[in-house]
Amino acid sequence: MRGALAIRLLIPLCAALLLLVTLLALTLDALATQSERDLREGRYAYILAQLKQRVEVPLSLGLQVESLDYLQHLLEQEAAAEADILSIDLFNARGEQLFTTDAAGIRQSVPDSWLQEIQALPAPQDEAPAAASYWLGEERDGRVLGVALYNDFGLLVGGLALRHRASDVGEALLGPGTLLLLAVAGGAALLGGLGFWWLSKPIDREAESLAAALRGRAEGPQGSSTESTALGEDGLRLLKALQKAEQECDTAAAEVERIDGRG
Amino acid sequence: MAVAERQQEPPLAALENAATTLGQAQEEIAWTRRPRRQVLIFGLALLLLATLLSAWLGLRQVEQRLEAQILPSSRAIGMSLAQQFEVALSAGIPFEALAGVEAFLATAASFDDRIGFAALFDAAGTLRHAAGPRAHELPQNLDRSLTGRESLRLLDQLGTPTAIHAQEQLQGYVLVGLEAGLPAEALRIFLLALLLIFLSVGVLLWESLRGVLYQALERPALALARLARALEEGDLSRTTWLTASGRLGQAVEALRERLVSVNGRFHAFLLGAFATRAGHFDPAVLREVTLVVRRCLTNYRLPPVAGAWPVPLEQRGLYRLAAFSLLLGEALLIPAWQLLPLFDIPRALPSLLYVFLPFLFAVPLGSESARRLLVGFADGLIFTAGALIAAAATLALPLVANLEGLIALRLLSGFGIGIALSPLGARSPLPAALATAFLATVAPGLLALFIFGIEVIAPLAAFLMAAAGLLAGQMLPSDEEEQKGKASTPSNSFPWANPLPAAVLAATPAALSLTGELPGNIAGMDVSLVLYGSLGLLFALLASDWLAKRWGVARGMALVAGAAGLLFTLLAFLPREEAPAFVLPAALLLSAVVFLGPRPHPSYDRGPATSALAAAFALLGSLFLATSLGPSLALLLPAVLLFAYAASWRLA
Repeated sequence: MRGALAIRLLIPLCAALLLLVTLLALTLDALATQSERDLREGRYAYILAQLKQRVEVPLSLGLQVESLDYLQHLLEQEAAAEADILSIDLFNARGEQLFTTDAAGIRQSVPDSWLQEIQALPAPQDEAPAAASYWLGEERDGRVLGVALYNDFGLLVGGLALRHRASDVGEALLGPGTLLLLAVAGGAALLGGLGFWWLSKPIDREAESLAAALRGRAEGPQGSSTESTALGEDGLRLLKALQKAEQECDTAAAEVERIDGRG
Repeated sequence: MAVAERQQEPPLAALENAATTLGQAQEEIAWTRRPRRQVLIFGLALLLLATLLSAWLGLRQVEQRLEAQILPSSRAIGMSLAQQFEVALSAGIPFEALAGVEAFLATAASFDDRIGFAALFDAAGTLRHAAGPRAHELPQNLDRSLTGRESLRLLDQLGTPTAIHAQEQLQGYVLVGLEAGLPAEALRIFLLALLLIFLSVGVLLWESLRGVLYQALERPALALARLARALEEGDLSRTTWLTASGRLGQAVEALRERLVSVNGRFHAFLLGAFATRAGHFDPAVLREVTLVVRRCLTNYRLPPVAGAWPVPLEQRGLYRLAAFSLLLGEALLIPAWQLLPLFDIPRALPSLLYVFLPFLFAVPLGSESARRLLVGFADGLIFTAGALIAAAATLALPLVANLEGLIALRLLSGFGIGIALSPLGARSPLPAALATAFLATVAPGLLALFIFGIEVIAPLAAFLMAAAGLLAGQMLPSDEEEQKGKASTPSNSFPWANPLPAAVLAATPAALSLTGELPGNIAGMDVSLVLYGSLGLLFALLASDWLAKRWGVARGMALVAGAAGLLFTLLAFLPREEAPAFVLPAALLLSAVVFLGPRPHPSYDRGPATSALAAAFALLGSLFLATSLGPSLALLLPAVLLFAYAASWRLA
């Protein structure tokens, strides 16, 4: 078959291009997912910082958190603003849930790990960077980040925690980006097929003419042509040797026949 | 030597005489170098172009994807700031008289590293106040309307302008700019990963194209060249059973048919001559016929009635392809070991002990068992069977629940690999195959490790091994010639230097882990470390090739091994904090030694068995020295082995 070498060369190229696209798409998706998560959590951290401020201001007036009923509405308003927010919880220093937007409402108190996290955060009087003012963790259906609430005396009175949905690497893989990369791979494969066909054309042509000559249908490869490879030279040597052997055999056979006829 | 004399030679001896080395075979088909080089360079260039274009387009796509998060963040912070300004404005403070704005904006800008600036513009788009790392680069006037704009890109920062109203009149805008696209650190990781991916896929493509060219171009060309030479010498007893697709394959097939026809013609002539002799009683006629037959046959050697002998073909490329494809699966597993449930607590040394030692001890066992028990089986069948055993053991890895199970599976895996490698023996370039397999799988292995875990990697590795066994096994030669060649090879000599490079390689990890160069938790490893290591390995392979051509293998390798030995000795006595600077050069030299290595002695076919056994003992010795005498002194073991290796060339 003409172009068989090109097709066989094209198969590993296509496999390599497919692997390249898969690896690149996965790498980009992993980095994009990580960046998206960082951006989202940065935004949520800002929202929590704003909420924290709005919760701590009334505390300085001597009010108890439990008495601030409007906070439930505030939390619900913030939670409704973003579809990825699963819930916002406000809890006291003992871990009892005071206000929550969690529709499931399956618990009365927050996990112990949340309390440990807010206790580990730097106190308001400590000079700490913004990133150190909140904690992050894995939670059911996603991730959680939270801040600690303090009163005017610097005492821990509770915390705010925001649970949000987190996408995994690969979830957005089959998007237009990957299709674009596949199109690039397809174009490269097409170019590769043409290139391999062009590169293997002289060899194919000489092999074809050698095969035809060996079957007695043509003169044989032209060793002196400008595009010829050494395959043509080997072919010519082969043909010459074969023709010489056949000729000598025929001559000998004719001689035996002559002897036979004379006798 | 006359053909008539050569006809007296036994066929096997003739075959052995005709068997040529790799270098000679390459010379015979020197013309294939140019098209082969063209195809390889074209393939790699195309891959490079596709990589660069895909990376550029991919980054643009990621930027678009991140916009969906950047704009809400900018809007959320901007709205909060705007609300504060509106409170101040509603208290009667004029917009122009707002005070302490920079400090207020700076608090918001410092909240996230990605925020480039937080700025306050008046209704005409003139900058009033700004804070943030890139605030000083902002233009004084935007020269465009901000009304109704969903997004604005300034200084590679993306943001949403938020309007500030007071008494239902537009007063100004707040604009918070966040870095558009991937952050610098993520971009750095991506570029490193891109290099690693190109390296891996490039090596894989290189090896695959080489395999195809070997099968479809080099072997048919070699068969044609050798048949041409045989025919020119009048040897009609040769043929080839090679089958190949494409025009070259058709040419080989046509030649085979033509040879049958020529031989048939000679046999017909001989039959005619015998009939003539049988029909005449005149001694003069008989003598004349005999003379004609003798004259004709003096120049030609005819095949026996049973059939012609095939011309010997060089098989090294096939063995390399088989070893490479088999080791791909094992190499894919290397980064994933610590994801096994048993290794939840990252511990490098026990991982090495449990994962590699049983494997290394089982390889010689499998290899020797196959040599002794599977006599008479075709090489391809043995290779396939071994690969399937290793694949089955690998497939079961995620199910292992205890240490005993892990060790049992690793033993089985090593046993299978040992069986599969046994037919390849000393003829396969195992070190080169191992190195290229590692390079080809380093990026996919690491990515699969980070994204999927052992549950996906193990079946993938098993699939690779099984596919290698089934596909490469079919290609391995199983003809009579190969069996005879093996049977005539004495196997009782032991070139002692052969397994040394593998032993040196195995003697280093335990000591290096204690110098802090092998991370305890491979999942937390820096990508750049892997990249530099892989590039170093590639460099070592290229340098090895160059050295071998330039200085000759013996002298060059003795020098490199000596230098590597000196570096390891130096490492043993250096203070711990200065050691890392010397580790990479030592590793590079070691790689050069291992992968240029001693070519296995032609009379010795227990390469995989002895190499694996030597590696197992070296690893065990290194672990023992590292734990009993300390990491520094454990580094003396590879140094001593390297000096022994260097000396072996001199002794040879």
